[in-house]
Amino acid sequence: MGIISSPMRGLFRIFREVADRAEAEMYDEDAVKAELMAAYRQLEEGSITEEAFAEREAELVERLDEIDRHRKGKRSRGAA
Amino acid sequence: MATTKGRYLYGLIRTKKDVDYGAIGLEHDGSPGRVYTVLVDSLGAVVSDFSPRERLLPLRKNLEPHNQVLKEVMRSVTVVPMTFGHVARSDEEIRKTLRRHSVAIAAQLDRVDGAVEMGLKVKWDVDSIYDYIVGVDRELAALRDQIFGRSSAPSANEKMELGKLFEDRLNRERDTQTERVLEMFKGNVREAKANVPKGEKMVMDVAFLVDRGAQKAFEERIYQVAGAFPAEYVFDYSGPWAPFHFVDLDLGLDAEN
Repeated sequence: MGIISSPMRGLFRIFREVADRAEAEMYDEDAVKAELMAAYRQLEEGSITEEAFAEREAELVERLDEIDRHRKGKRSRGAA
Repeated sequence: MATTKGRYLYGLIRTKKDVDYGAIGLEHDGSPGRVYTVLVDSLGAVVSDFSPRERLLPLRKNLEPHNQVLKEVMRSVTVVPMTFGHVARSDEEIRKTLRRHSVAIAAQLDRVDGAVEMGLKVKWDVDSIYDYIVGVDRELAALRDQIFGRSSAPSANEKMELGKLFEDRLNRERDTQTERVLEMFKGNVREAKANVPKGEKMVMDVAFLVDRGAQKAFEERIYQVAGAFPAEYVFDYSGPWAPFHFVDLDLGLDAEN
């Protein structure tokens, strides 16, 4: 059993690591905040329109909310 | 209503007396916060009341007053700007922090004394950045002709080699033009900082530290420099800004953004 299951575990670990890394990038709150600041700077410089900014800001806020939900979900799963 | 002890921090100035900038700060208790100074010796922290429990995000409704306050302060005095999101728990925490970092703060105030930041972005206004770079680089053009100019299709390796050379020449062209521009501004600025350009058609993204009195001459210089470049180079400047790119200071306060 051990011989059969260990490569699977190894493979699973690799998948897990890849998934964790992708997740870390997707749920990087600081990166989203930096994007919010960059978008506002562009608005102030006049390089994007009011409409484009509003759209971008809403999109990034939605991502922050998602991160928040994800984090809370993780915490409650961890506590269970 | 309980008194709020938390303070939102905008920047640091030299002052011996309290300054009141009026209700132009981040929203607090439903209205724009009053902006004032917390003093230690001859240093002042420009702050407004803020409850640390409030969620603080870099949204327009918060970034706008942050920048507006800095603009207002800059009109009369040199400011070391804080990046968005610095919060202290009390005036006492601010005083302790200013005392602890007084030497570093003084050095930064000296560095930006009497100066403002101006931004310059230069872009290539061309349809295809690839065609443009091939057009200015003979070696790249020769490699492209060699691998695409024969009857057999190019291999994946050859395409990769061409892609790498293109990337290399694109960056080299950016560096060359950035150096040229920085050289041309040498007599007009105190310091310059080239940021990594974002977007493939962006040639450069530079921040300049300019003496307040030399601002007009700097703006005239932009037109002269732009005139020395071919028409596909589009120059776009902005400012004056608080000198964010020329301040290097870590106060160890919470950046709660």
